[in-house]
Amino acid sequence: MAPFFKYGFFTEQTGLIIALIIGAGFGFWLERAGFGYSRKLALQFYFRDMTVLNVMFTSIVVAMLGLLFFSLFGWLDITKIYINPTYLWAQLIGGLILGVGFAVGGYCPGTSVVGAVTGHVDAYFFLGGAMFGMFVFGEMFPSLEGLYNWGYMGDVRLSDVFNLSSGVVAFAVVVLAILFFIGGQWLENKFGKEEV
Amino acid sequence: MKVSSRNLGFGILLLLGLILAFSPVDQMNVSKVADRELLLSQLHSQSNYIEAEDVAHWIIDKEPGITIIDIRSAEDFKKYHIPGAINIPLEKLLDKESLELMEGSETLILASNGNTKASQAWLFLKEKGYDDVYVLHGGMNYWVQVFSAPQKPAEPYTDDEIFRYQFRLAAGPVMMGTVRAASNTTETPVKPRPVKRKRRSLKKKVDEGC
Repeated sequence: MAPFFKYGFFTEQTGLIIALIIGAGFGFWLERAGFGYSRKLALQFYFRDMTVLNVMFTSIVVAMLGLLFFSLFGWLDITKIYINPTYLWAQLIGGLILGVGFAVGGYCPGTSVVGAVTGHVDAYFFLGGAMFGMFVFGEMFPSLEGLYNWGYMGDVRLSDVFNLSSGVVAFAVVVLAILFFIGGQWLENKFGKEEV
Repeated sequence: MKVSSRNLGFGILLLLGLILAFSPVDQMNVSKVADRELLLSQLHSQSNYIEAEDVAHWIIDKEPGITIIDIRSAEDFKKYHIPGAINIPLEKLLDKESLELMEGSETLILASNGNTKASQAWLFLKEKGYDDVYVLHGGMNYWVQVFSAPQKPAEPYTDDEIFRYQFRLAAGPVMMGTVRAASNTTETPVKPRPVKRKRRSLKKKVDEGC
């Protein structure tokens, strides 16, 4: 809601309430997609249930198309949107670590909260592990700082990196998503879909 | 021919993507300069004001990326000014060197004696495309009044009132310190170093993803 917030359509307090509603909705739909259940999530890594990939790519594509069309209609100033700065190598390594943790633990940080709320004991253990990991990371931070900032590129978007217009990049991402959806289904069929 | 809902979805996505690929999305990204109705409504709702206490808190916290611009005359500025403020008299507001001084700052706070001149400057800067510009509510008159001799709230007072009073009392010496400093040293405005604000530390925003 940040780009709307900037225009002063609502106050900070209203913004917090909206954030709460969005957050609760996010958790609810994660649960509805079956993401509160570690077995279902872990099956992703054995190519037997591609729900995670489908949900993530769907949300990416929907959000991207929505933002770009809103900006095209002049409803929203896309320059006001916060962009996570890119630390290329740090994020690649971090992504790998997260992936290993995901495959081992069966949750990613957000879904572990959803799992904990719906009463899965393994999610509590996962959350405890995540907290412990954060603590260790925080204590070790001085020695990890170089790694943490490795490959800093600033607030860049794909269109800046490849020097293309955002529309062309959007189209490429849509094509990529569709290829992933089709490829995902092919993998599911190959490795045998398992219902949990 | 029957089209499955899946292929229909893919088709719609592709179509939307194709439309985007040939539409001038990036030309729309230019930050909107001077949406006059918006400016007017901000003036009217007084959302362009920032309170003296908030500014004082920022000064104490050494909040990065903030520049306080004193638009009074140089003599007035010499007599007293907010700690860390830079002096750009109103008539020089749009000079090249003045704009250079403002560069690299994310948030600009305008201070004049009262509200009027600062609000005029606010309009100019907004029209110039500066985004985060605020007017110090009440101006320097109110600022000095609040931090040099804060008035104890009359009983019965609320917690909020007494906290505010105590903050004013405590912050007073820091905020008013330059009265003495300015009498024996002549400060020259220093170009604030462009602060690349590390947003992640401020926003404590949870990254996207799951």
